[in-house]
Amino acid sequence: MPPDTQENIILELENIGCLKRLRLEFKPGLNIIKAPNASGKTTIIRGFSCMFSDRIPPSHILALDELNGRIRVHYDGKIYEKTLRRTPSGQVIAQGDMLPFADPRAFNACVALAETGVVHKITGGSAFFRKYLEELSYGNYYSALINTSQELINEYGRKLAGPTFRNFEALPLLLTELTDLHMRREEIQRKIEESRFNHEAKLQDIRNQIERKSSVLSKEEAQLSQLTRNLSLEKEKEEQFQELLKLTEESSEIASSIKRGITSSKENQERIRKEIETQTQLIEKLKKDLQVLRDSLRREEQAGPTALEDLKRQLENLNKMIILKEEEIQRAERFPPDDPEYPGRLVVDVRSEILRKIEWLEKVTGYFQEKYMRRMTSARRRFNSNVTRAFRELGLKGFGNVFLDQDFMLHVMREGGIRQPVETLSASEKLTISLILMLAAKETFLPDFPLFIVDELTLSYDPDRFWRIMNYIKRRVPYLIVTSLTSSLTGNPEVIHRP
Amino acid sequence: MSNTRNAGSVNKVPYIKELERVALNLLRKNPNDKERLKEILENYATRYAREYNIRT
Repeated sequence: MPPDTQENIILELENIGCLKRLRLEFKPGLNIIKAPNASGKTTIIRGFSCMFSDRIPPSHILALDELNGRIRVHYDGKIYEKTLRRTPSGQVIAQGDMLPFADPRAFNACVALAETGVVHKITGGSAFFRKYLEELSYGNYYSALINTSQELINEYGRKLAGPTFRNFEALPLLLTELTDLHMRREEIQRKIEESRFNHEAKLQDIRNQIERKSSVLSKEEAQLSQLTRNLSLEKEKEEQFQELLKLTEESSEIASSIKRGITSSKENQERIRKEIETQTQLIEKLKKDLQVLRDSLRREEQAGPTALEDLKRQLENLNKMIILKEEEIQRAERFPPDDPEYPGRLVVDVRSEILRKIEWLEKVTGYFQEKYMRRMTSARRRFNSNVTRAFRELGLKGFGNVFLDQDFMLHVMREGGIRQPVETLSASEKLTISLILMLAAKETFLPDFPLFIVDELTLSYDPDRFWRIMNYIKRRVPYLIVTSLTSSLTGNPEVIHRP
Repeated sequence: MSNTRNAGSVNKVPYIKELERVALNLLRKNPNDKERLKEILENYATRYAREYNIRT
């Protein structure tokens, strides 16, 4: 961009670095600040820089032995002033105006100091320019957003990996275990019921047997009574026959008949006695059986259902285990009331809320990554285009192409397409590339910034090439300020103007 | 203009332009205020995590 202003810029410094008081005037075009070594050339640049950028700390600007300093700039009919004050604690505070075109990025794109920025980077052999372009294109803002969002996602991720959520993750297992305990309890309860039923059935069976035996015994006893009565009747009958026989003649037919009756009665008695004996034995056996059954009933009643106590113990243990498991599940489901972050809230709610936060932050990160990529790609392309144009227009011998690749690594291609690593370039070539990269950065990102400042880069430079580049920059920037060493040993800095 | 429009990705992100404007303003004023930036992002995520909850 050709200079389109004829206004001079006046810079006044008071107690800045080694300069007590200085007034310089810059005109549109090339301004060369000439001064001997250690006379304050870099101090002037630093002082001037702090009127359009905050990259240099005020403590590096104010004279070490002074409490107050001042920088004043006359620009476009107005005065812009900044004061520097050293506090009792030694801190230096800057207050006042910034120039209307102030931009913090300008220090990296428009001020070429040997010890900082691009010049320092290139002379140090570095070829990585991502950060540089990030700052100039504000890609660093998106990068900060992405990083912060990612940090938050990681924080949430760590939170989800914490003990409370880990316990919650175990919830399905806990619920399965609880279901298993309930099933075991039901099984035990079923066994207890079964045992009680079986026992009752067994008792009932014995009682039925006793009843049946008792009934049979009664019948058999009745039968024995009948047999006993029959025996008595037969005895009476025999006695009656004996009485009759006494009264009857022995040889008579009646006596024979009575004798047969007596014999028959005796036989009957004998038979009945045998039957009584058999019946008595049967009754004895029945009584013994009954006694056995009654003993058995008593024993069973005393013993109770089989293994009931053991089953009851098992049931009791299972009940305790169920209570403990339910408490564990409650703990896994809910944050404790004294939890500073989520008192009493359900873990499932908090967890899904955190997951949704992560989901949103991932969407946000994706959006900003896309913006970052687009911004950086565009910045790189425009930057490369301006670098290529500068090399082409300057027609510098030895250079084919200089560009940043997609990883923002600087490639220096020699004529013939051979790539030369940055660290192997000569000192003069490094400076050439530094200045052209800065100019390209300025034209890409700060096209309206009116200044370009080059501080003492002539020491290791081919003068012809240096001034050729300066003249090229002069045509593109309203005010070009270059510091240069004079041969004299003393004297104040002065500005030589070349339109 | 819809505020849900984004840089062309598939997923729509509600009020992302608003978030971008607020965050960039903060970074321009104070590029090192990461805590405030985190707070802005957290508030955004919390708000939409809850709205998402209501919708579903």
